[in-house]
This record gives sequence, C-alpha cells and structure tokens, in this order.
Amino acid sequence: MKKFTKLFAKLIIILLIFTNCEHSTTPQSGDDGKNDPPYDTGLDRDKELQTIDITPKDLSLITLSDQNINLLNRVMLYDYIPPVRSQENYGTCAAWGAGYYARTIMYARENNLSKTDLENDANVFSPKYLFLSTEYRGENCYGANPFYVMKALQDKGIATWSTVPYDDLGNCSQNTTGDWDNEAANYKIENFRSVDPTDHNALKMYLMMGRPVQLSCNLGLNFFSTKDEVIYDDDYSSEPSEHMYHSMCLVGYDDEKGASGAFRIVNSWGENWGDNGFVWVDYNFFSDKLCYMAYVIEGDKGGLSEAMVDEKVINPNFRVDGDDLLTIQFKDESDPHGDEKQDRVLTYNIFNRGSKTINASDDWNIVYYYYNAFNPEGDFGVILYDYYTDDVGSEFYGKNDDFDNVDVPMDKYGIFNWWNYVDVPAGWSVAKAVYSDDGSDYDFEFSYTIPNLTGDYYFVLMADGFNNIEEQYEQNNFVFFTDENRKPLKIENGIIQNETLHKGKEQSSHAGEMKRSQPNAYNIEEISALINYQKRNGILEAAANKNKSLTKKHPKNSHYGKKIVKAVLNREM
Amino acid sequence: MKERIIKITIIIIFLCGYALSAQTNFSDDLRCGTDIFIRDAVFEEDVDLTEICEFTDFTTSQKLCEINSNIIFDNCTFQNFTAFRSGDTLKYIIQFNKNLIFSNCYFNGNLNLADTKIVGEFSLKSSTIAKSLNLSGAWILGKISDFSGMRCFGITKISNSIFENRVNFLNAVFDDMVIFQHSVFKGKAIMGAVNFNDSVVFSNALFFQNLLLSKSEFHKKSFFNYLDVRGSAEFNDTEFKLDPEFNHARFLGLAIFNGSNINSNSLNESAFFLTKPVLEK
Repeated sequence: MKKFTKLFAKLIIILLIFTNCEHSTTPQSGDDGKNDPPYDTGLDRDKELQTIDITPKDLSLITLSDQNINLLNRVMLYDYIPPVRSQENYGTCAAWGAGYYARTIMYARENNLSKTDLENDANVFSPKYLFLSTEYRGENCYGANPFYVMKALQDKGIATWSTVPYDDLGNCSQNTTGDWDNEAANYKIENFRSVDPTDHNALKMYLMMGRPVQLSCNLGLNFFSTKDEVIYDDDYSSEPSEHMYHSMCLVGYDDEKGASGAFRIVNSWGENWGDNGFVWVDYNFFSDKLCYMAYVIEGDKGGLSEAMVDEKVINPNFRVDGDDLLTIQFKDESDPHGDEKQDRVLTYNIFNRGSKTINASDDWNIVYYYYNAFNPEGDFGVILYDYYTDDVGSEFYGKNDDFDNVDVPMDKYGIFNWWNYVDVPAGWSVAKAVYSDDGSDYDFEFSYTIPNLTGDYYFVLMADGFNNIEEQYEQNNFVFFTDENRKPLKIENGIIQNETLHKGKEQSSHAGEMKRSQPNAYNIEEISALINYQKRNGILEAAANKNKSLTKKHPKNSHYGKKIVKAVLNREM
Repeated sequence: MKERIIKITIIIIFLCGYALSAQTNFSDDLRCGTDIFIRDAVFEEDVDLTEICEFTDFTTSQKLCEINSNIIFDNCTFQNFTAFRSGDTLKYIIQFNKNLIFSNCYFNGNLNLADTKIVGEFSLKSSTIAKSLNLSGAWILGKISDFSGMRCFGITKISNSIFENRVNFLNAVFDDMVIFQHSVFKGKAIMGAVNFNDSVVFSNALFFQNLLLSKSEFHKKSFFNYLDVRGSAEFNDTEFKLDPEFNHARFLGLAIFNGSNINSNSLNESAFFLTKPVLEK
C-alpha cells in the first residue's frame, strides 16, 4: 500500500511538471492576452530620469574616509526590518521602499527597537501616508518618482502605520488629514542623496553603518517567479517599452553567497514571493542590469550647522578665548574693469575674534572654492588659495605677493595663488594686519575669472580651509555665494546666469541659512571633509593645474590679483 | 638591408589590404545575403553587426535585422564582436537565418550575441575568447550548437537562452564564471570533459533530454539549484573541488554519479530523484 501511494505521488508530480513545463517561469497572463506580471510595481522611471541631475550625490564615504573602516564579509539589517508586507495591487513601491522599509529601519536603529517592537504598527511607517503626500504621483495609485517620495519624507515626514493603515486607498486622490500630518512631522528626514549602484564597496559601507539603500530597478521576466536561489541574470526579452521598473530596499550583503557574493533585497510583494519576501542578487547582475539608481536617507545628522542660529557664533563683537576666525566681509560682483563677463571681483575679509595672535607660522589659508551643487566630488576647484605663511623667508615679513614672484616651492591649490607673511593680532582683521600703516580698517579685493563652468554651482569662502587652526567655532568660517534664495548659481561657460543676484547679504549665506533654505544642500562638515580629503590625496592640486590651463591667462601687472581696499563702514555681512 | 625593408613594407601593405578588403566584402555580402566564408583574416577593428545591418521596425521599440547569409569564419582574429544593442527605449535584434560558425577563431575582446536568434547551426568550436561571451537570451534553432574545445577567459553568460537541439561543450575550458541560469536545452546536452575553472550556475536550467557532465571538473562553486533534467543526468568521474548545491533540483531520468567525488550530503532532501541516484565510488 505504501509503495502504491509513493508511486501515485510520483505520477502526480510528473503530470504537474509536464502540464506546466515550458511556462513554469512565465508571468501570469492578463485579460488582454499580454503577459501581465503577477505583482505590481510602480516606479515612474521617466520622471525619475528628469530629477537625477538635481539629486545630490552622497559624500558620506568621503567624509568618513579617515576612519579606515574595514568591510565585513557579511552584513544583514534583519534586526531592524519591519515584517514583510505586500503593496497589493497598487503601484506604490517607491513609498514602500523609502517609507515602510528604509525609514522604519533607520528609526528602529536610532531608537534601538527590537523585532517585537517592530510588530507593533505604532513603530513602523505608513506607505499609504507617504504615497498620498507625494507630489506628481500617478493616477489611480500607480507610479511615483522616488525623488518626490523622499522629498515628501523630508518636507512632511511620515505617519505611522497604526495612524494610517494600508487600506482604503481608493484611487489615491485623497489628501492627508491634519492629524496625520501632525504626527508625520515628527518623523521627517534630514536629507536624501543618490549613491552609485555600481560602487559595491560604497553600498556595503552604508549597510555596515546600518543605513538601508533605496533601489530603483529594472525587472526581467523571471524576477516575478524567483525563489530562494541567487539571481545571476534575467530575461529581458520583452520590449523596452514594457520593462517593469520597481523600487525595493537593499538590506544586506554576503560575500560568500552564491558564485561571487550577493546583495540581499527586501521587496513589498508579501512573504509568499521570493525567499519569504527577500531575494539574493549576484553582485555583477545587481549593477550590470538590475539596479540603475540608489538612494540613502539621513534621519537626523544634527551637527554644527544648527548652531549658526546662535548670535554669539557670528557676532564679531563677541570675543572668545583661544582662536576663532570669522568671515566679516564677502561680496562677489561683476568686474567693472573686466574684459569679459566671466571676470569678477571678490571682496572679503576675515576677523580674528579670538584672544591670541594667529601667526603666519601656523601656515593657514583662506580658500575660495567652487563645487557642483549636485556632484561636488566630480566637479570642483579652488579659485583662490590665499596662503598665510612664513615659508617665504624672514626677509619677506609683512609682505604678500603672487606665488610666481618668490622663489620658494609651495603647493599650489588654486587657479590663483597668493602668499602673505603676516601675523594677525587678536581683534584685527586679516586685511588690516596686511596693511597696518594707519588705524583704518581694510578689506581685500581679488579680481579673478570664473573657469569655463556650466551647471549649478555653489562658491564658498573658507577661512582656514584646511583646518590648520583649532578654533572655538568652525562653522563661522564658511560663507556661501548663492542666488538670493540660497539656490545654486546657474553658470554657462563661466558666466553667471542668475538675474536675481543682489549685492551684499542677499548673495551670501551662512551655513545655517543654507541648511534652512536648501536642506539637501551639502553642509559645511561635508564640504570641509571633502576639501581636506581632496587635499590629502593630491586631487586638489591636480585640479588646480587642470583648471589653471582652462582659465584665461592675465598679463602681468594687469589689474587682476589681490588688492587692499578701504573697508566700507557698514559691512553687509 | 634596403631590400629587406621594402619586402617587409610590401608584406605589411598586403596584410593590411587583405584585412581591410575582408572587412569591406564582409559588410557588402552581409547586406546582399551572399554566403560569407572568411579564412585567416585579422579584423583590426571591432565588428559591430548592429552598425552594419539594415534594421526594420519589428515593433514600436524593437528593430530587427535578418541576415540571410551563411557566415563562416575560419581561423580569424577579432577584437570585439557584437550583434546586439539595447537602449532605454529601443532594442536592436539580429536574426541569423542560416548558420553562424566561428571555427578556431580568436577574440581579443568580448563576443556579444545576446538576444540573437540563430535559425541554423552555431559553432564556436576550438575558438578562444579573451574576455566575455554573452549568449544571454539567445535562441538557437539549428540542429547543433557546438562549443567543443572552446575557451573563454571572461564571464560566460548562457542564461535565459533556448537551444532547440543538441549542444556540445566537450573539452571546453571556462576560466571565469559561467551562468546557464534559466536556459532551456531541448536536445541532448554534452558537457563532458569541460573544465570549469571558476564558479558555475546551472540553477533553474531545464534539460529536456540527457545532460552529460561526465569527466568535467568543477574547480570552484557549482550550483544546480532548481535544475530540472527530464532525461538522464550523467556525472560519471565528475570532479567537484567544492561541494555542489542541488537544492530543489529535479531529476526525472536516471542520475548517475559513478566515480564522481560528490558528497552524498550535497544531494540533500530537497532534491528530487524519480529513481534512486547511482552513486558508486
């Protein structure tokens, strides 16, 4: 009898296999006769491509580069992942990836929540709320651009699942309620950034830091029926116009998994799909075909920028013990004597409001740096490297000049480089220290030419740009050149296009103002860390040489270069 | 000395001219549908059929080029050879209506035949590919696909492909990863005496007839998860340097592991054998 049962079972299995054989991995067929996938997706790739250029690339790994983090062979964020659930028949994947998974994982990690805590809907976030608060979402609950989903997380925050459960979505045309919004405001993110999905080490570093990565993926046909096996390739034989784009969340990796290591991704298709809702994806396939964009969110970084609202940080009349440099003058204007529209005049000054003299032997500097507002790692440079040093020799004490006019080897970081052998006494501005013949106050004027840039840029003046001096407050060393709304300057072939630039204060911005007005803009810690990384690795010097060759040469003894001018009484800082 | 220089110059000019004329004729013959047989030629530049072919609209987002020539390269040297291009909105597919044969050829770069359809026979017999081979999504209808004696130093992707008839990999050598995931082999698959010097993925592959892996060597990881073999599967004297994975594999014909060093634990409970596998050391 037992034998008969076994034989019967085998026959049934054979029958099942042969009736299903060739289409066992094909998606279910829809009513229209086409092969409709059995699960919903909802990533609006066309709109996403339009916002790629305005999504800043993350610099975390650069700013952490001093910490020498060794990559582990395996990292899983399982402890912080909420229970796997399904987006059902709605195209809400972007809200699931960013809101339900990424935001909940960040929150669970920051608040040390346990797996049991995450079974409580009050501790996980609502994809419904996030989808409904997302701008430009598709009609009938179908499709969203991750950029706007994360912008909603940043601007409005996200309500919990217990407040806004994932039901009664209707056609997703309804608005969020006041009660929902009030709760959501408690869970805003500080910023969101794009990361390179082909940079496996970077992705692993984020995961090691406990940060999940939101993914934008192009799905092949086998993805829908995948099980617990690693995916090495997929079937993209469908027409490009029929490719399915889908958001998911990267939650781990294992270098030993599969043939050459694999990433662990959690999906929003319920526990019956894949490996209990998760999937392993081979490293190569992940970046070759599956994922084309990746994002990280920052829950709450805090940091020095917030302290800018404190008057004592930026008031020159507030003196501090020890060392502290403060920018007290900054203007960047079209050069009235210039030959070209790229010619500009920078007026600047730095004040020593500490209790001690800042000596030239400290080898410190003032740096005028430009960077692409969305890709500073790839597009940057130093316009002016104003170096305070005694390297030039004692016979030059009290003097200043172009690097070319002194026979001392010094590293050139800027398109324009200038040395100054002066000490800056406490309570003096740097310009006054350079020109100390009378009791008047002075500023520097520097005539320069913008390199042949095209794109969106911020310029930033940094006192002690390479952090040679340990100061009471570092955040007051930075002043940004922006448009009047703190947005980046639009530049074409080196010519600033913004028509709304004003003189004085409207064109400059302290770090705190930048942060309030442009929350995704890089903060001063990031820019400072980036510039020091670039200096350490010789990148800055290489860029200076390259930029110098691309910038218009000025004849000797022309009006270009550094000058001392009498300070206006009413400083506009 | 002078004579020698002149002789060398003449030889160089002759060789360059020969290679150039081979390329020029090749393009023209391809367009006209004339059979192409090229022996001992060196293609100094990349061959990209998507730039030579005349495509017609197949669907709104796919363009198709049908090549009606028999194409035979014997002892030729190529740089990169490409027959597939895909963008965000448009895909270029090439259909070879007759045979495509590379015999004893050498590719300094990649050979990309992804998503191509070959109605006739396909061969890479005794050929060497310095970089990668991509046959992902290819559909080969000819009575044999011959990879015997070939060697590939880069990644080999033969995934999501369909072979309507027999395939022969006898004595092939793969120095990098090989992926057969989700491919369908409708005829006999001769994969004996193959050297897999890196990892191999047979997972989710479907063999309608016999799968012969006898005397093959698997030097690194090998994955047979969800493999489906309808005919017999022969692993006689197959050597696995690392334990293979057979999770959820299905063997509906006889599975023979005689002389193989396979650890019987690898054939775990989740693998299904319709008849008891033969395991004799």
